[in-house]
Amino acid sequence: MSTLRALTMPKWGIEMSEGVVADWFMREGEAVAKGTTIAAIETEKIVNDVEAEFDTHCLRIVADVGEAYPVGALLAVFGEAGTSAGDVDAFIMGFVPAGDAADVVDEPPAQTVASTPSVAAPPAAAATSIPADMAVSVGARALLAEVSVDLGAIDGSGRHGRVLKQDVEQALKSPRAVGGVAAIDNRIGSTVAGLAATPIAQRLAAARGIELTGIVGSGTYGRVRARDLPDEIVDIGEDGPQRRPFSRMRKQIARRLAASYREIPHYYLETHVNVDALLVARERRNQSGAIRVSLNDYLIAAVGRTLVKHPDLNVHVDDETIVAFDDVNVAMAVAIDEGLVTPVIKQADRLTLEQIATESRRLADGARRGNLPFADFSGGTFTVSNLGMFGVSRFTAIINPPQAAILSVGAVRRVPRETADGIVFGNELTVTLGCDHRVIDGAVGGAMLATLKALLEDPARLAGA
Amino acid sequence: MAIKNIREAINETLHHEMERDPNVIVLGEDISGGAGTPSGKREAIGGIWGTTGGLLPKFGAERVIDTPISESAIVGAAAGASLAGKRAVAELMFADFIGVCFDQLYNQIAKFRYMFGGDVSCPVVIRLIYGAGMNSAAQHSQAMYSFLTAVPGLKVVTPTNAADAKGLLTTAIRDDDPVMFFEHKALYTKKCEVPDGEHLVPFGRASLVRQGDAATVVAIGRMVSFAEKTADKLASEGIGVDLIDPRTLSPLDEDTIIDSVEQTGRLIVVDESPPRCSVAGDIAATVAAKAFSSLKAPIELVTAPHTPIPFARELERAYVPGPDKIEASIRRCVGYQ
Amino acid sequence: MTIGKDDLLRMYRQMRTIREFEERLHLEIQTGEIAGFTHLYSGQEAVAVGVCDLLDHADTIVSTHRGHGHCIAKGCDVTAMMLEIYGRADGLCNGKGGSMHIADFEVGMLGANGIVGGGPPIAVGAAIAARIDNSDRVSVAFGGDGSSNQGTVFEAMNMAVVLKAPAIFVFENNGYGEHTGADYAVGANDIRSRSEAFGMLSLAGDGNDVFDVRDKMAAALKHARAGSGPVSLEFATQRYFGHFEGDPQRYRAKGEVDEARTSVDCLKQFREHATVIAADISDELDAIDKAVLELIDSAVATAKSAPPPTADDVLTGVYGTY
Repeated sequence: MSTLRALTMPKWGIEMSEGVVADWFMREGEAVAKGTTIAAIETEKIVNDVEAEFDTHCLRIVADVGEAYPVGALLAVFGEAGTSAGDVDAFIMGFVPAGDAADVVDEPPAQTVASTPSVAAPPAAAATSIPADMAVSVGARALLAEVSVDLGAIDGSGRHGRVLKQDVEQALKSPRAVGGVAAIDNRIGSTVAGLAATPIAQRLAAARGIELTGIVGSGTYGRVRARDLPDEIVDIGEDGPQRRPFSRMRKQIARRLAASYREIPHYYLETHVNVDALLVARERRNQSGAIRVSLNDYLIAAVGRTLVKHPDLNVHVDDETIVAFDDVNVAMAVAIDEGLVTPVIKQADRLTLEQIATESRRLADGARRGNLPFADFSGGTFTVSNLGMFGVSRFTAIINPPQAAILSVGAVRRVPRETADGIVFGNELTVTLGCDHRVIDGAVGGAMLATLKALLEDPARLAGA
Repeated sequence: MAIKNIREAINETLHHEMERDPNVIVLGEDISGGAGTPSGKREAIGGIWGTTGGLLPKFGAERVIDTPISESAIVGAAAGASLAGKRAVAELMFADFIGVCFDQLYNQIAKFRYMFGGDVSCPVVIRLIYGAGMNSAAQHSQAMYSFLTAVPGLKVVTPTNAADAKGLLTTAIRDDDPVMFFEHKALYTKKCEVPDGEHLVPFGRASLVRQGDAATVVAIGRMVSFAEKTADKLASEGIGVDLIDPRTLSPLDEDTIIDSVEQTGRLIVVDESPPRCSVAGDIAATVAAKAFSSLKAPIELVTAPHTPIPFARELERAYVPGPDKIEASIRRCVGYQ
Repeated sequence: MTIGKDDLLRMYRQMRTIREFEERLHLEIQTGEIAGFTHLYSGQEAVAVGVCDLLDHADTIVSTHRGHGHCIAKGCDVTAMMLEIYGRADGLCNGKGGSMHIADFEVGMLGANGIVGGGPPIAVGAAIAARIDNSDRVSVAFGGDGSSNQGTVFEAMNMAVVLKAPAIFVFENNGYGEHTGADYAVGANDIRSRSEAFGMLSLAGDGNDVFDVRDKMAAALKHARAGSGPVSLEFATQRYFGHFEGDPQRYRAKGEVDEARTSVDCLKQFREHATVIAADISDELDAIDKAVLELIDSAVATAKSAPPPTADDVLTGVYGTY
């Protein structure tokens, strides 16, 4: 048999499932030159011309004008002139549409030559013939009318081996290879935990390298659940992003700050403080004193003394109650590995600079080592947050409830200043006061800020401190 | 054809089969009633469900046997008589009583053929009267067919109309295997046309009660009646469902159920028994296993709750899956996207 | 009841066959080749043979978990039984039943039964069938002292009385229900009077004396075949082996079995009685001993070399049609 070629219903775009032959521009027996328009095909969206892809002859037109055919269906047969009608018939009978059906048959079905050539051959559906004595479900029967499959290879899963639709569908697909690669270790991660941990907890524990022994589970009869595991980095894979659950501390911070930001009507007042004198005074003190005093210590001392004069900012907000304090306990924000903590310098208004310096060092070191007693974290009435060491010029910290105000301290900057002598450079830092507007009005905050600025700019008034 | 109810159909079938085959015997408690009473009456009751009336006068006490209240002995005697050439039809007045004769059912009659090499047969029919709806409370209302459907060697039959009752009971009596024949007490008065003369309904052949393509509803026993109502109501709204009555739970006509699900892609199973390890669960599992690719929605199970059967009218009504629950499940299943 | 020499030889052959069958199984089981539970009947032969000797194949018996003796006495083929116990495809039940579920309906053996007390209701049913057929068939329910405590047995006895069924309840009291003594577990310690209370003819006899058993059975048959209703027979006997093979029998007295084997053994007693009836019988009994040994040898050899069933056989024989 000379090489015969099929013209099939083309697939234009992923949605096209069938097309209508709108017209033929060739006739049986005609030579067809590459590039000539041979047919018009109509889909739901367009009418398109089909061009011949090679020089050939039109041997047989199978599809009727005006009829719809599924994608892949045989429309016409091309080949060398003079090919016998019998060969063309045989080709048509044995035609299997490309696509799913053609993929699965191990071998093309034997091409049988019809004894009586049918000119008006129906569209070549690759129907599977079902033996009369084979039990086949209704759905399978309908499917088999459309696809070609080796029924002999199907082990029907229905009652008494009846072939079901699902059986045919699976036969049309190559089964996924399962197993047979390499042995895997399917043992439970911790033998000690055994049944006393949920499967997910066991998997997580194995992934994080956590020993389940000793973990007190929150599940039934003390069963360890995923939530009971200590927080560790979970590596999802080599390529993917690292996902890290909130640590307990992070959860606490998140909860408190989110609540603060959500519920407290913050406003911010900002002022620039000339710290030329302060820096000179500190330098002088540190040259002589045994204890180094930081700029932050000055700030805390100044805040302490300022708040005594502005007790309206030295308060807690408890629901709709304002709780005023006699002592000024200044919380200082300290960054540690796990997050942010705010140990408290008690009675900062009454401590000397050296005492504040000593205390703040103890608190900072203790916080970083994680061995501060709870008492050191409690009782704060106002917070000072200093990001100056990072060169941050100014920022607006979120209030640390139940406190009502917070001071954000930026870095000391060199700034030009206009003086009687012309432009000179001096040192300045920006302090930003955040207030809870529910309890602290703008004027109250402004007044406090003015006092603070004045105090910081005249360090002699802090000298006795 | 004549209009008959299930009670009449069963009674007539017993009469007919006893006439036809002298080996058929009937035994049970109060099958006739009155024995040993001062009334001197025989057949004082004719069965508490009225299904065995007229048998004693016609066939005599040799073949129509009133027994003591001894379910183990009833089932065992039916089995022994059948091993010895009879075809015994035993009545368990309430299906709930299988508890006191379960050994004879599942360890003895179910296994004789297999244990003894496959060639012996034990053609007994155990008629079990079952079902809620008569405020008979926890020990006289249960739909016990799941227990027996689970036992290899038993066949389980649940007729839901008079014609099937006749056809299935005839088949059961002539069958060479032990048949558990479940009669729902609330269906006895349900009427329909019953074929005259010989009428056999083969086992393992479901009946398609309603036809539609939106979903497949498989209902068991009395639930078929409820599901019929629901199906008709939904049909008036343009929602047509295939309603399948399996008629026999063992063997189960998987073919009809799967054929239907392959077309509709949606399955609702309605079962009067509690949900765990039930026939409803079994049918759902079968479809999930064998028509997985056809399913377009989660399978809906409409069953009784996992509770004993309560007594009070209000409670029992809440217990039995009714048309409302069936309708809600069908709508949910058909509406699932 | 007169006994001729033929009767003696027949009864002896049966008892000897049972004894050799069981003693041989006891040895073979220790090789591990035989699967599952086996309960041996050694020591109780006189009961099975005395009861079954007067039955014919139309009469039915329903047996127990300790059923080999009943099967042999009722006429089951010994080689086919051995094949079954070995789990072979050509066993009496095609390897599907095993030791506890041997049946042969051809000879009226309606099945051994793994459930204590499971058989008597079935025997009553067979008896009812016999009555419906207007035959003089009887149906025998074998049981032990253990089964006499089961509710099913009470139900069966009562129903047999109510229906005047030609059922004969044979209680073989071997003194042990599994590993517990009948003295403890049988409340009245008197099964005969217990049966009598149900309203039936109840007799007791010596289960080590086949002649006594046979006489009592003859009386029972006369009663039952005449349509006078059921009968209960209680026979005192003993088993030589444990409840099942492998039972360490720590509940037995020291020397108890040896004592029984030398003093009351039914075969030993039989020889003594038989020589009184027929002085010249000894040589013939010896010949039977030899023939039986050969039969059992052959049965074991056949069973060992017979093919097992195939996995496909699992699925067959559950239903007639399904």
